Amino acid sequence: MKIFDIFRRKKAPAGEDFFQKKYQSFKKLLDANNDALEIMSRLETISEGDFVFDMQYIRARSDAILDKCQEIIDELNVLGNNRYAALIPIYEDIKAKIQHEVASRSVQTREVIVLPLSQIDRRLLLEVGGKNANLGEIKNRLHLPTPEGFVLTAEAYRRVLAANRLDQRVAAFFQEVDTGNLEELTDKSRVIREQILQAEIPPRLQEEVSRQYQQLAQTLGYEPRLALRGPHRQPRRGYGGGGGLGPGPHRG
Amino acid sequence: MAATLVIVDDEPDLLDLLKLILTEKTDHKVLTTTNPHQAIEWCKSYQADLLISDLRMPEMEGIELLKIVKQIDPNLPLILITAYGTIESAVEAMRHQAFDYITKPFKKEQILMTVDKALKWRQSQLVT
Repeated sequence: MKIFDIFRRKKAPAGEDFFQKKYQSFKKLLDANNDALEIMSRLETISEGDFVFDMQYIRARSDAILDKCQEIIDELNVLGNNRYAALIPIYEDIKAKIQHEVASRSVQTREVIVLPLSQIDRRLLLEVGGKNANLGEIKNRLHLPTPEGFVLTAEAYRRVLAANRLDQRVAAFFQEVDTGNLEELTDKSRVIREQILQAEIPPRLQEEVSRQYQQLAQTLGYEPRLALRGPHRQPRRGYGGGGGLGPGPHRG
Repeated sequence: MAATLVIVDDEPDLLDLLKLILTEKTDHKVLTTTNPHQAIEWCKSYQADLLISDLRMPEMEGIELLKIVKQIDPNLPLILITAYGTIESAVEAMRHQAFDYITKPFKKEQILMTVDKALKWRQSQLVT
């Protein structure tokens, strides 16, 4: 009897329990794979144009796909006795890239009113405008020679409006103006432009611009005269980014 | 008949998209804002015919907004839009007299149809 018990114990790892564990892992792997494919297929369907969705939805679905991919890797490692451990750092790298890409830039930059060009790329387009975003790409990704400088973000603009109680007037202007009536558009634009030009610059913004200028002077080794690149408007979005300041053609 | 619609959502991209759909397909005047307090002001000053609101916003919950605007105008229909399409939040919204409830993502036709129904409901309320 004891002899048979020994045989039973030795067989156990390769027996029913072992098989069940492997089977469960394989089943979980297939389920996770099917779920991930289903989410991707749903995303593809809604991106084809007939659906209305927002970044919150994209973020939630991206997180769900990442969770399923992690499950797939975990189960592959259970099945293959950690033979696929090399997939973990690759997964983490891809996960970080995806999360960075879909993260809310407006939230990240909500409090930033001035940014040096060295911290800008195309992902900040809505906050710094197209010209500055592209300049940031050239400087920080292609590493081509570009002038130093800094950017007043869209948040700086919002703060100027808010500090002068112009935000609601500008919002009402965009809602009320008849863009088909050129005369009305010109008249109302002139009024709102004059109000903006007379606005007080909040002390915090003045201090931040001074600080950035001092840093710029320190980097260059002299106090430069600055050239200003203006902001631009984006269709349907209102104000589309900030203005940039950098050394002008002449040394001051 | 052209009506005045106020839309409030904390995602500017979604506001742009909804405004584009509604102004392309209808003659309604569409006012959009990310600020729920601004939406309340516009409902008053423009005597809005319909309010469309996100359910979850950082400054104010959609249900709270619903309660406030119902005090201003009991006949103002409100359509709530949310990514959190749970039965509980739908029931809660309808209990507070939301006109309807749409879960993101939704089809363009769905919002156009719901807006149309809500405006017809408002007309019928104003007539009686």
